[in-house]
Amino acid sequence: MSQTTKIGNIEAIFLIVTIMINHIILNLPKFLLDKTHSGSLLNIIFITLIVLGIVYFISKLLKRFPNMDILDISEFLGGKILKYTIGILFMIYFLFFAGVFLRSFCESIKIIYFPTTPVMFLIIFFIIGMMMTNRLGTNAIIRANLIFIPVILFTIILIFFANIGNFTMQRMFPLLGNGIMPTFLSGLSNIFAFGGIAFLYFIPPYLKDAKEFKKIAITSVILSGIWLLFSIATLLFIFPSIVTTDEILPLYFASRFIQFGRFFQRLDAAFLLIWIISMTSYLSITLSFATNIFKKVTSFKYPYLIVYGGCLIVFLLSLIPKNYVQVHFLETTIYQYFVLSLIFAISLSILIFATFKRRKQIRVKGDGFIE
Amino acid sequence: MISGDTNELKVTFEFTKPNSSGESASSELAPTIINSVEATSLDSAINLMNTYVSKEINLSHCKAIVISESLAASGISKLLYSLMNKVQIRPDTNIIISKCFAKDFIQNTQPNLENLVAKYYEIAPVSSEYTGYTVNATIGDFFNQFSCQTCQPTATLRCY
Repeated sequence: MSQTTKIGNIEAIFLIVTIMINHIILNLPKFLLDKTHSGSLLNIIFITLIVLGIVYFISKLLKRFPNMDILDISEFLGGKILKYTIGILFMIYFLFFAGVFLRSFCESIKIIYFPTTPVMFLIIFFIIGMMMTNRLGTNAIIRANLIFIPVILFTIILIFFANIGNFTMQRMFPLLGNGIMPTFLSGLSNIFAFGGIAFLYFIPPYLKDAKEFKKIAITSVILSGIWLLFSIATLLFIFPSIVTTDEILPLYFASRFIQFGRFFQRLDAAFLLIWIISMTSYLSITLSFATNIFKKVTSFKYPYLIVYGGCLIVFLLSLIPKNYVQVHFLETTIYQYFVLSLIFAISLSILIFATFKRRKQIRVKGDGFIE
Repeated sequence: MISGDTNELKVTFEFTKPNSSGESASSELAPTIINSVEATSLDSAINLMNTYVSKEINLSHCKAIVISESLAASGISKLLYSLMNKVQIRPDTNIIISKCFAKDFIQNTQPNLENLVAKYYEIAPVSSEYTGYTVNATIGDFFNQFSCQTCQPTATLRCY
């Protein structure tokens, strides 16, 4: 993303929602259901409220650093070393997990439609897509995302409403699932589901109107929470044994139940097509942010080379897991701890300590900082 | 179509002969091919059949799964999981328990008002919408009830 690119409110909201939506399409709802069972509905509402609080706090803290992203703030707090460290951590976050999620998605497509095709070929098609969109530029990615995200959001809503006939509403009981403690205390770690808020740390310099940051952050979390609730409810009400059956794309399996009479059946193929576009959009966005971080950290001046390098890294990383079990472990367990530590612990701590430093500076210098 | 007269599974497949539906626009019944193989599992039966017909069988348009009553009574948990783990088999595929062996059931099923057997198997259970004598039992619902701790799975019991 070049420094001259400016994005509007809706574009920024959709950027953040994209991450959540793609995780919903992958294994996120199943992982949450495995953990909190029928208490998932309450758990999602609870963690959405918690994340809303965190995001509100982040927006308050970022207010003190107008037009600065987390890298600038890290440099302000701890100099170049902290900036490089945070930059590398976020690059790992974007690139490594882009590779893992790409592999996961391709493995699922392979199982569903291409059982005899080597997964590498499927991955290459996505990599080519990433490369082309990033060569076209950030504006193209963001505008394309603006077109596709409403369609993708609509598919998840459609899966919910079209499946109402197949719902067994009693499956929401017991409402507290395994009890109060697992739902609200150990279930608190489910805030990793809102990993998309990582972009919040990077978008302030690119916003057309920096004052709208709080509105963007809160709206994107509310939207993500609602759609997560819809997807969890769909799975919970349809499948009693989601734990023991389908490991791949649980929403895809829910979409297979949809039929309108004898004429409109097998809509799952259309859903999968839309989700393929969604995945390409997600990969393009993450690569765009990763290349931007790399440029900022290294002052490298050849953008196309960074794009090619990024694509190559994502491609190679996606080939690391030996099988789907390893992919599943990486995209759930490792991703969970990485998000919790990087986005909710390290980055937030940097913001807090930088705010203290800023206050101290103002006090010492008598700086004319106005909140 | 699965029956169990030995320790192994006897899996019977019924296909509509390729292009037969397109060739004859008349009211003649489209010819079908019925073949059986015995194997230890559903997957090996499909593999055997793939070898026999020299084509890869795709179950995406499978309309009904018939299980013999004797096999159903002996327990079909493993078979059910095998079926559900097959992405090709759709949750709206009908499940029928036959009083006789599945092979006999499908050999004797001769729809009078339908030219295509597949269409017959798809439409027949839908009659539950206007009669009270049948039930539209799909494998998706059957498996959901089977996995649920407080439910009992139900399927259509038929004899030819």
